[in-house]
Amino acid sequence: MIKFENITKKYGDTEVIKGVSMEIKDGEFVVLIGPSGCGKTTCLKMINRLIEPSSGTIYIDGQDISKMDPIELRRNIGYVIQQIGLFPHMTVRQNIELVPLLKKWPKEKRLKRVEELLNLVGLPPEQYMNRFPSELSGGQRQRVGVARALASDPDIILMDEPFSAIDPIARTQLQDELYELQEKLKKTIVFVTHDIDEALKLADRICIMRDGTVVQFDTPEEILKNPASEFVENLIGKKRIWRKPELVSVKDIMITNPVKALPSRTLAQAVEIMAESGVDSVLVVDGKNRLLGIVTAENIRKNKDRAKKLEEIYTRDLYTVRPEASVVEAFRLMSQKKIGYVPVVDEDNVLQGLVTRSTLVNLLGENLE
Amino acid sequence: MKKIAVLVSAFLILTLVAGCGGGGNKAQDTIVIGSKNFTEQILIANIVADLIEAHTDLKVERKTGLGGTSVCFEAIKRGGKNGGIDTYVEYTGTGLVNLLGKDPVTDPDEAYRIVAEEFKKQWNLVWMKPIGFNNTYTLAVKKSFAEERGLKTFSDLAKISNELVLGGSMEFLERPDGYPGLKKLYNFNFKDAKSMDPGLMYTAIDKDEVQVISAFATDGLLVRYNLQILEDDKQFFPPYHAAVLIRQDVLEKYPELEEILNKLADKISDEQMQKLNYQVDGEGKDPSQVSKEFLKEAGLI
Amino acid sequence: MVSEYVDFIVQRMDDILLFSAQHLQLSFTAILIAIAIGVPLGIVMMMLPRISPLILGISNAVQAMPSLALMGFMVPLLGIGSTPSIVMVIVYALLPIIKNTYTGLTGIDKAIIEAGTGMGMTEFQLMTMVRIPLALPIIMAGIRISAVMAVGYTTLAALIGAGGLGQLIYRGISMVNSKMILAGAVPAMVLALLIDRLFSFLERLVTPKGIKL
Repeated sequence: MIKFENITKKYGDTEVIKGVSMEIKDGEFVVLIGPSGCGKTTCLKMINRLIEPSSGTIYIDGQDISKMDPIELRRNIGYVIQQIGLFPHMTVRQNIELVPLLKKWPKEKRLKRVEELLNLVGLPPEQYMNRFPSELSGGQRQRVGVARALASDPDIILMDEPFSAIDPIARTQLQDELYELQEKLKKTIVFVTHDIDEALKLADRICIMRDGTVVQFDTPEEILKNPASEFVENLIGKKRIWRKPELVSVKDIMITNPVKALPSRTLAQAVEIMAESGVDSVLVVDGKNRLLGIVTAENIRKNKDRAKKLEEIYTRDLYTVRPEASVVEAFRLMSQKKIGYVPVVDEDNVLQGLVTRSTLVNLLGENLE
Repeated sequence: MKKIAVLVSAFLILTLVAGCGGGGNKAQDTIVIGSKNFTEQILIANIVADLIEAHTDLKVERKTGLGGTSVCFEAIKRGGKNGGIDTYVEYTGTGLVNLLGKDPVTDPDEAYRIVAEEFKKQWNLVWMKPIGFNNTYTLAVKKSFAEERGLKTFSDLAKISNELVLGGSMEFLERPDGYPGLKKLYNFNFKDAKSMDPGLMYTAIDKDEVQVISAFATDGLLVRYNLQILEDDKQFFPPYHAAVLIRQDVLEKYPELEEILNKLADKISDEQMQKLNYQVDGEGKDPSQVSKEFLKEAGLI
Repeated sequence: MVSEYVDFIVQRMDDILLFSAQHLQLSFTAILIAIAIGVPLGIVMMMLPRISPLILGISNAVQAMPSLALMGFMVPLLGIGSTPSIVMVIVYALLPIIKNTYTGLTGIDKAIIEAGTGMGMTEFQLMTMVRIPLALPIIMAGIRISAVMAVGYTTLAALIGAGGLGQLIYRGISMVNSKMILAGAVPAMVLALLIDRLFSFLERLVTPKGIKL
């Protein structure tokens, strides 16, 4: 548990944090959000003591962190930052095993951990371990960043606008993955963003900040239903439509340019396509963009022969929705069939887009289930 | 970290490899001889060195070609034991005017008397007997030019100086007993006075970029470039008699040096020195070779 | 003309080799010491930004001092021979090393440094594992500039009795013997080029693989 008690921060005469008190529970995903200069990043960096408060105390599991060794503290807190922050002169492996190395783990244990983490974030270790950050796409780099933060299995992970510099498609994908990862790992995550969509999608609770104070700290649904002030209303403004989700159709929220490939592509090429876009599946379409099926990274991994064509392995029977369908319909379909995404096709089976489950889950809130 | 280690070792190896050629430790009984960086100095330093080597068991280290009077003088004040030199050949005029800061004296014996006395008193440096030649400053023009314009003396030159450009060594153009004093006495009025390295002056006059140059009376290059020395008819330049300058403590430690060095007294005249210089500058002989030949001919070794 | 020059070179080969070796030794010693002084100074400048203008100012001023003037100061203090020549060359070689070390260390992306700090690296670990490896190519470029300059400045060593190829050059000038000048200048030039090659090789060698272009 992380507890802020009357935290203030002054730079000269300017008070940037004006008495913040809050509690973040174990295993909770908390998103700090607000306009720039509201103090969200300052609060985040106080947790690993990159910034020291002017007054007040921060406790982690009941211990005053100002009395702890900052180096030791930081090694036990994962940290992911906006501009990726991977060390360009180190390989993916060296980047990930850095904290374990600082903690003097033996070599075999480090290597095992690196492989484990790369698998976890969907980058096959044998393929990516010895690459340098400059040889990765933005999305892949950020995955390595996440893997690095997880390296020494910290209980707390701080993420400072980790996805803001990444293109929208890869960002959605990374958000989905992070969400799934959190379902599995149940870390305490403190995540800073200025993107309300991202906050609604990921957070267990959202902490809305303004001018160095906390305006509202609650679950996404509660914030959507009962915004505490006009400021909050404005912040979530365009999202208010989601309170009547039946009115929203799939085409309003779908990804319009999903990653796709022709059946004549080889598996090796498909891997390349996925790697380029930072996704883990590819829709198979014919020359007229008609949907044929899907191939996931998982499918490919099972096939050793990378020269095989996609047409030999793709999954043919898959569920689809129409663009005009309501998001509620799409959501029901995904819930019933237990699938993470559903392609959107028109009456001629021509691919229009893709809807993912985590987008829906977070946009709609839990009241639908 | 590994890379840094590689770098460091690469440097060390290179330095060691390069190190084979240089350096050299000073054995105990070593005399360090210096010289300024022009031919006469290098030649005479070789002569002194060869002479000492021939008559004693001392090791002689030659540090020839040092950058000017001040380097030599500072070096001899430190002494060979402290990274300096023990002896070099200096000129009475330079000692009197530059190093002692006194006014020029026209009487050679008087000039020698003053430097000998003062150097001993102030710095414990001893002047041996003069070697003979007087390497005074002078002005030189092309022989053809002198004939054409009927130039014999400085006074002749002064009359047409406004048509001409002077090239002089930096030292000559600066020192009070050089060009500044000369200009006043003879009323020189050159179009321009360019300072340049002594060696480069000869090329400059040969290419007619300057028409008059400062020169040393004993300079071998005067012969090679067919230049004519003009007469200092008002006796402006003080005498510059060359003599070996040596540290008192070295002389005390090796008293035999006094007699050996004084063997050179009055052994080389102006003309002889000019010829010796010419053998190096004009004929391209090595100074050490010229030195040995001279010493043999003169019966000094 | 060319064959005359070649004859001269062959005839003086022993001298040329000896002087080249002296020259290399003086230059290398100076460069090594300049690295040993300059790199730590650059690091100090990075760690104490308040004194960095002072260090930079002094090394700039010293660099701007004419070499013969510097030599004039050096002889009364250090005498003649290799010590003052090496000191003189060091003085001139320092600036590019200090400057590049400082630029290299401070020019690193702030995000990378913050990531390192946030992950719990100590200042020392940050320096040795992140800053220096990333700055190394820039530091090496500075060293390369210094090294080439050092070979040039070392010709002045002849004027204070330390030998080197300057001896042939200055003797050649005073004797108005262009063959002798060339016999000193050409090897000096070759040495400078070789050293430039050597250091650009080292520069490439130390550039971390991940940041090679």
